[in-house]
This record gives sequence, structure tokens and C-alpha cells, in this order.
Amino acid sequence: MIENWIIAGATGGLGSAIARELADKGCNLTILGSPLSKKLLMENVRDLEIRSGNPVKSGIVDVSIPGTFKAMFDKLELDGRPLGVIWSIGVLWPQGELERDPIRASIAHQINYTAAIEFLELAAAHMKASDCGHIVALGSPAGDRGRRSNYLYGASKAALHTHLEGLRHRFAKSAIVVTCVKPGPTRTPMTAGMTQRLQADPKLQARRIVSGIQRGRQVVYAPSIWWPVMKIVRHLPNLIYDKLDL
Amino acid sequence: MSSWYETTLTGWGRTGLSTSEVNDLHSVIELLAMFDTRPQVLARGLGRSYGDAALNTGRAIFRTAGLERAVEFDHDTGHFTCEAGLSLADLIRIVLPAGWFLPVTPGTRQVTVGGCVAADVHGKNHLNSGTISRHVLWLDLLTAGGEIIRCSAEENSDLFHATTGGMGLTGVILRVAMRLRKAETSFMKVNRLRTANLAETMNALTIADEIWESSVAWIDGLSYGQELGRGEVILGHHAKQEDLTFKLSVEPHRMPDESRLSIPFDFPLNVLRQSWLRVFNSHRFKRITTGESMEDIWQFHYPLDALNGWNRLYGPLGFHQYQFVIPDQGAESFMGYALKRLQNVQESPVLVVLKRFGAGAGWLSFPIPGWTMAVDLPYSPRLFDVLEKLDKRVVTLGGRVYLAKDERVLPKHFREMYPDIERWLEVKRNVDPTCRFTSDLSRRLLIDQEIMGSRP
Ligand SMILES: Cc1cc2nc3c(=O)[nH]c(=O)nc-3n(C[C@H](O)[C@H](O)[C@H](O)COP(=O)(O)OP(=O)(O)OC[C@H]3O[C@@H](n4cnc5c(N)ncnc54)[C@H](O)[C@@H]3O)c2cc1C
Ligand SMILES: NC(=O)c1ccc[n+]([C@@H]2O[C@H](COP(=O)([O-])OP(=O)(O)OC[C@H]3O[C@@H](n4cnc5c(N)ncnc54)[C@H](OP(=O)(O)O)[C@@H]3O)[C@@H](O)[C@H]2O)c1
Repeated sequence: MIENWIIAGATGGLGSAIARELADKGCNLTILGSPLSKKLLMENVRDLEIRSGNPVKSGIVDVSIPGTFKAMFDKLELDGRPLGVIWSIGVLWPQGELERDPIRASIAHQINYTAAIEFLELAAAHMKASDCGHIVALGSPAGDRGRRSNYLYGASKAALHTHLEGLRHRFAKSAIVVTCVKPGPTRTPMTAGMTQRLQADPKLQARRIVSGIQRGRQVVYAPSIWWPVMKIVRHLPNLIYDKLDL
Repeated sequence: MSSWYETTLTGWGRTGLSTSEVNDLHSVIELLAMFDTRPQVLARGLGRSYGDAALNTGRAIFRTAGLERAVEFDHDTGHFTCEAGLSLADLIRIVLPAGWFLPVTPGTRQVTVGGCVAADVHGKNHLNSGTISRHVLWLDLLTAGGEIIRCSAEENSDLFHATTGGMGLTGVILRVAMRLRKAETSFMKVNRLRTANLAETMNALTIADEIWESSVAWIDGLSYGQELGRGEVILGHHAKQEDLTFKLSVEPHRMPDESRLSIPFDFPLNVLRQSWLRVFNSHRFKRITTGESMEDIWQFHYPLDALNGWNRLYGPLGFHQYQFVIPDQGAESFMGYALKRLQNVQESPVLVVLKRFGAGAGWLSFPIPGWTMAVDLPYSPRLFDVLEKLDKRVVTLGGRVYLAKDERVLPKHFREMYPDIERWLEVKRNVDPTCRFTSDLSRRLLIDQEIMGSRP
């Protein structure tokens, strides 16, 4: 398994849990957070250094500014060691709010997908040189089929899925692995205050996700039950789908 | 940013549902921002206290399990600092590979550091190592006024002794620094003995305690007459490198995987019934393999953690753990009496554990020198009446019941059990005169009434 990982969104619930899981395995980490959470980012750096026994690098990125990732990728000194990257940035703003304010919907799309383009492509360019590496991004079952309760979020995830699918196709003949993670509802700041019953524990989710990454899977549903569930949801005829309160 | 939502919680014994507003914290920064948004709050760790200590019905609860960052770890001195929501399971994963282990651990690792300090937990090595507070270098406490106060046995010592064992009622513990113990390996040298009756069990523990670092006895709760109190005495030392066989010494700090076995749903009825248990217990008793062996830390300290959610086996009524301590004087006869008495309740003792305690600690800390017994009992309507009668005798003998396991002790008994309560109340009056920190337990024991009632 790859030992050097960059994690974007490592101040978030899933991002920090994944970072901890990788740190427990002794990986070298670079973690990125937004300007809003500098202090938290530094607390996470300390935590991850203790867990991994390695120095941890950090960086502040503001995904509303194009070009925010460039400096970081330019500075990378890996001496040819393989690199893995994980995109765990995202916002889930209420659908109703976004319907009323489409400008806000496009800002959400910017954070959830547009910003990822730069991150993923810079990573791909970096890996292409050495012909190995691992690209991971957190998509969502919400991107598998549009539904009335969250399609504005789902659409940005669908774009991300397609992007990853393309990257995988592009690198199919190389040692570059591409993984699309689709976690079910997880108890993180993103979902705070929403229906709790089905929410998974972020620590367990991180364990599932990292194990899927380790196995080099193309798509990782976490927990795996979401795979058959979404398979059915995707194939439901409109006649039935339209009647469901999803 | 986190936010509030309403949900139902239970104690580990699952005897009743409690609805409160909950906030799942992810950082201390977030807690400071949210603290003033609710008038009366309580910190809750992983909810492994059996009764009402971690419940706050109709009020607000901060769940701390997301405050789980390591802050400092000195591999040479074994000084370790972390946020209070870190679970012991994760703590061990961090420190054991570097050759360190918890100085004191309860019988499960699915608890938080903060919860352990708030209950001032004891382990199988209490006689030698005391409670967890003895190993706490300092802790940071968020108090009712929104101030963060660092306290230790030297600095703000009153607040320290009121907080260790104080069941979350002095504030939210944010960070804890502690002194770990060296662990050359992740194995224990274990000795198991079979005992024929209560006297023999207590005798074996008394003798062994002089030699072994950790000791505990499992008692067959369904043994009668001559055999009453028969069981298994389990003794252990941390194994040194040279104790290991060649095969084990290759990886002296081996970490097992976390158990994936769990009870996936709430059982519709209690499956731990007397008739089945009788068979199980006598089978277990006969099967005890006596003599020395090597076990890993998990087998020795955390046998129950092998099955996640085992508390669901008790069915919808839940269960209660009665844990008390009795000073040496009168302990043996009371233990025998209590066992017999509890066998006569509708559903009888499922799991009985006996152990010897050394010196006491914080003002509301449970351990005092003597003998402690913990009995797991399926809930039945008559149970609490029987326990109340036992409480009376416990009080007369100068003993007490463990608050982390309790949901029913009467206020008057509580005051007699914990004579340091006056000093504790004085601190509480100073740091939290309006009871911003409150719990089902504190209101049941009339602590809030006492504090608020005494306001000028
Ligand atoms: C199988 C099993 C075995 C056990 N064995 C032992 C044993 O051998 N010895 C022993 O002593 N105990 C034992 N216990 C009891 C357990 O160790 C305690 O109940 C402990 O407090 C549970 O920790 P928690 O994180 O689950 O806390 P919770 O149950 O969530 O809370 C317990 C108390 O701590 C307070 N609290 C929690 N976090 C904080 C914080 N950050 N700041 C302030 N207050 C806080 C709560 O308000 C509450 O009063 C056992 C429990 C189980 C289920
Ligand atoms: N939680 C779920 O149920 C769930 C389900 C499916 C998929 N996902 C996906 O998993 C990923 C992680 O989600 P999460 O649950 O961990 O959410 P989270 O806790 O809210 O974390 C989101 C992360 O995104 C970062 N971020 C948000 N806006 C940003 C901005 N403008 N600039 C830079 N960083 C920004 C946050 O950084 P700061 O904290 O520094 O602001 C944070 O690190 C997301 O892509 C999400 O869509 C989550």
C-alpha cells in the first residue's frame, strides 16, 4: 500500500477519521484544511504525528480561489515515492435553500466538484510522470440517481463520479489506481442535526474506506450494503420511483 | 459546525429510555462555541456507565467521543496527553506499540478517557495501583462560567478531587495528561485457580494479592450451600520480553484486530435466564483450566469486548449491575448473604465478580479498602426493593455502591455512603452554583436541590 497521502478536507468528520486510520498504519500524511479551521488543522497535525510516528505536513486551501492547490503540488518532494491523494471536501446545504437561491447552488457545486477538477488533474499529472499512484475521492450514493430531496448536491457528486470513471479509464493500463468512495449517511458535522438513526460511525466508515482503498477497489460503498441498495434504486422504473418519498 | 438534535439514550443497562437534546462534538473549539446555547448540560462519553450517570432527561448532552486527538506523547517518560473523548481502545493502539499501557483500566476498552476520570475507575490492579486519578498528571476542565481551569493533585487540588469521581458534575473534562505504565509486551502471565467456596475464593485472593499485580475472581452466581461462592481466581502480571516463547517474542507488541462480532438487534426477551445459566456456569466451572498460561492483554482485561453490544441480550427490560464495596470487617459474611439474597430474586445473578480494594481517592470515588462485588442482574420489578434492603446493610457496614453502575440508591443512603460529600458540595457550590452541570443521577440524589436550595 502507498505510504504518502495528501488528504484534502482533513478537518472534516470523514477526512480526519480517514487520516487517523492511515496514521495508525504509519503513513506519511499531508493534510489540507480551509482558512476557517487553521487551529483545528494544527490540532490534527499533532494528533496524526503522535499516531503515525512521522512528521505531518499541512496546508491551507481555499477552494473558492482557483489555483489554490497548485503551490502545494509544486512543492511536493517525494523523491519518486508513490503518492496517494484523497478528496474529502464537500458541503451538503439544504436542497430547499439551494432551490430558492440558485447562485448558492452553484457555489456548492464549485466546492463539491469544480474545485476537485484542479486537485484531481494536478494529482493525475504528478502521477503520470512516475506512472504510479492512487487517486481517491469521496462521492456519494446521492450521485447515483437524481432525486427530489437532494439532486443539487447529487449532481455535483455525479460529476465527480464521472470524472473518476474517466481517470480510471485513462490510467487503466498503468499502475495508477482510481477509487470512488460512496459512503452512506455518516455522523459528521456535515450531517449534524439530521436524522440520526441510519448514520454510521465515522471511525467505522474510515476503516471500511481505507480497507477498500488498500484493496485497490474502483468503487467502495461504505457500508457495502449500499451497493445492492443503490443498484436497485438506479434500476427502478420511473413509474415506481416517482411514487417513492426519497 | 455541529448542531443540536433530540434523541433517546439509555444507560448501558438499558432499563429505560431517556430523551434529551444531543450535540456530537468534533472539537474543543466547537464546544466553546456551543456551550452557552443551552442552560443545563452534561458530558457523555461512550455511555458505558450502567445507570443514570450519563443521562440528562429533558436537558442537553454533549457527546465527547469526537474529541479524540492525541496531544502529547513522550516515549521516554510515558507521559501521554489527549482530548477527553479518546477511547481506551484507540489510546492503546497509539501507546502499546511504543511499549506503554494504561496504568489502570476498567473491564472494557470501549470507554473514554474523560468518562474514566469522571468515574475515577479502578482495574484489576487496584490494590497496587489505585484508581485512574492517581496517574493523572493534570486535567483541563471547562467550568460553568466558561473558564478552562487546569487542575491536578497539586494545582487547584480541591477541584481535582471533586472532579475525579465527580461524574461530570463539576464541568466538562477537555484534556487529560497521564502517566502510563511500561509494558514490555502485550501479553500477561496469567494464573488461574479453581476455588470450592466463598471462603476459599477470598482466601486465595488475599494470598495472591501479595504476589500478583492484578487479581479478580469470577464467581458462579448460581452455586448454593457448601459451594456458595465457588469460582475462579484469575491472577496476572504483565509479561516481560524474556517470559515470551520464541514464537510470541517475534512480535511482542502484537495488536489484535477489533472484534467484528456484534449483537445486531435488541433481543425481544432476556436470553440470559436462570435455567440456561445454571448449565453454562457449571460447565464453565468444570472447564476452568488451572495453572499458568500466557494471554494477551485483551483476553485478560477485556473478555467482554469480544462481543459488541452484548447488553442487548438482556431483552427489553434491560439489566442492572449492583456493585458495592464493604470494608474488610464483615465483608465475608455480607458477600455470602448478598449472594443468597440475590439468588432469590425472580431472575438471578448472571455474572458475579469479586475483588479486593486498596486505598481510596477522590471525594466521590468509589473504592475504599475492603472487598467489592459486582453482580449483573436481569431487571425484574422486585429487584430494586431487594437492592434497597441490601443498601441498608451496606451502609451499616460502612460500605458504598458505585455511582457509575447506579440508578436507584436513595439520597439518604448516598449521603451515608459518601461521607466526603460535604467537601464535594462545597466545591460544587463554588464552581457551579446554578447547577449548569446536572444529570439524572445528580437530580435523583437531590444534589441539585441541595445546591440550589442553599443559594443566598
Ligand atoms: C463491560 C464493562 C466493564 C466495566 N468495568 C469496570 C471496571 O472494571 N472498573 C470500573 O471502575 N468501571 C468499570 N465499568 C464502568 C465504566 O468504566 C464507567 O462507567 C465509565 O465512566 C464509562 O466511561 P464512558 O466514556 O462510557 O462514560 P459515560 O458512561 O458516557 O459517562 C460516565 C460519567 O462520566 C461523565 N463524563 C463522561 N465524559 C466526561 C467528560 N469529558 N467530562 C466530564 N464528565 C464526563 C458523565 O457525565 C457520566 O457521569 C465497566 C463498564 C462496562 C460496560
Ligand atoms: N457525512 C456523510 O454522510 C457523507 C455521505 C456521503 C458523502 N460524503 C462526502 O464525504 C466528504 C466529507 O464529508 P464529511 O462528512 O466529512 O463533511 P464535513 O465534516 O463537513 O467535512 C467537510 C470538509 O470539507 C471542507 N470544506 C468545506 N468547504 C470548504 C471550502 N470552501 N474550502 C476548503 N475546504 C472546505 C471542510 O473544511 P473546514 O472544516 O476547514 O471548513 C471539511 O474539511 C464530502 O465530500 C461529502 O460530500 C459525506
